[in-house]
Amino acid sequence: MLRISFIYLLLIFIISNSLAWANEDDEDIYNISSSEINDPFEDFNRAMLRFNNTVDFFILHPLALSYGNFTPSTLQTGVENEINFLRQPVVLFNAVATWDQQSISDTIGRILVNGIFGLFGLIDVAAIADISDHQNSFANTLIHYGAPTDSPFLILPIIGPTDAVHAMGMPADYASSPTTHHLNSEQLYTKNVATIIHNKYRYYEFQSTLADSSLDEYSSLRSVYWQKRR
Amino acid sequence: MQNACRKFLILILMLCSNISFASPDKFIYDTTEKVLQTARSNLNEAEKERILTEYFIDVMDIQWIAKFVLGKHWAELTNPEQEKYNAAYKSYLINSYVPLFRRYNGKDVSILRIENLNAKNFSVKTTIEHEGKMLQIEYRITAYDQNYKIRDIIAEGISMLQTQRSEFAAVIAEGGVESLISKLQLKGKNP
Repeated sequence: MLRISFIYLLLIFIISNSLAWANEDDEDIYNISSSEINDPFEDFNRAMLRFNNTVDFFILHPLALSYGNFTPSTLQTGVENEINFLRQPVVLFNAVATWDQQSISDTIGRILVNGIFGLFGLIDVAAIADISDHQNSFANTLIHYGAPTDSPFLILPIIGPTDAVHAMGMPADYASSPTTHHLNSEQLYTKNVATIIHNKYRYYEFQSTLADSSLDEYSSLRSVYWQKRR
Repeated sequence: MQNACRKFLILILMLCSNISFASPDKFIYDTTEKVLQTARSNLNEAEKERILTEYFIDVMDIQWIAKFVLGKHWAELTNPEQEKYNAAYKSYLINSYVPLFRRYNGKDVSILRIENLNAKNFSVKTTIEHEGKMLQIEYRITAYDQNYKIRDIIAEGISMLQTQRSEFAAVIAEGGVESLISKLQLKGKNP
């Protein structure tokens, strides 16, 4: 009996310890992409990052922080909601182009609910009603019809990090937006500047943290961009 | 006699077992609660930093992370270089992350889901409120005996491991591992 118990005990000991011995490195589970980021324009991109950081330091960050410090948070939320609301026709256009039925129904729902009950988009009533917010753009349409998902990484002046397919999609998004055709040039300029400053404030803490903690801000930014894209 | 043998067997089994008795979600909940309580406390900044640093060293698997983010270059280092790199990386990591925890003033964490990645590794998905927005943060943790350590923090889809590995590869490509160690030492001294 004791000999059987000893053998049983030894087996249990080996099995329980094998859980610790096996897969000690466990690297496979960390889903680290081994493929290199597509970045044939790295020199240009690094120069653009230096340019954007300079513009941020002297112009955009001071404006963004003034906006953030002197604008009540409820108004900031209203601005965020309005920017999102004005983007919905572009989302709908591209949802139809790719026949993404869920996105079509959700986006129509958002436009109607926020347009009628949300003071033309200032209040995101659709979020309370749990209607999903989609991000379809012309780049998504291009990808749907065969454009690569890992097109070259780009940093554009003022706009910041993007990739070649998304950069190609921007003019189409601009052209398909109703605000482009229904606002006069002064109104359009105000809307675009307000959007840039609002987004600069929104991402200020993230951008500062990334810059402060990075050994190489450019490669950190590039990695972050691709992780968000995936 | 048989009963005594059975009880003896069970006791030995429990003593020899390497399976942790605490749950992964409790570990993450307790960890984040301690960080939040310290950050929100009335202690002076230096004391908060000291407590958070001790806690950070205790819960993060710094040695494993340091080796992982260096990738294939780890094997190229001599033992003294590995020690120098480990020390520089530890200072860098502490000086990068502890100040972020110290500044945090959000609300409590909510555990969403726990997933077994394998026998020893777990994913704990949480949400935490920060400045009126709900942030999704996933912790990848590994079991060591009766405890856990954090190996990756994935905030809103951005992995600390992935970002650092990519960044370190770029720094090494430009100036070699010595350049990386120098930059880590500089960041570790000047947060």
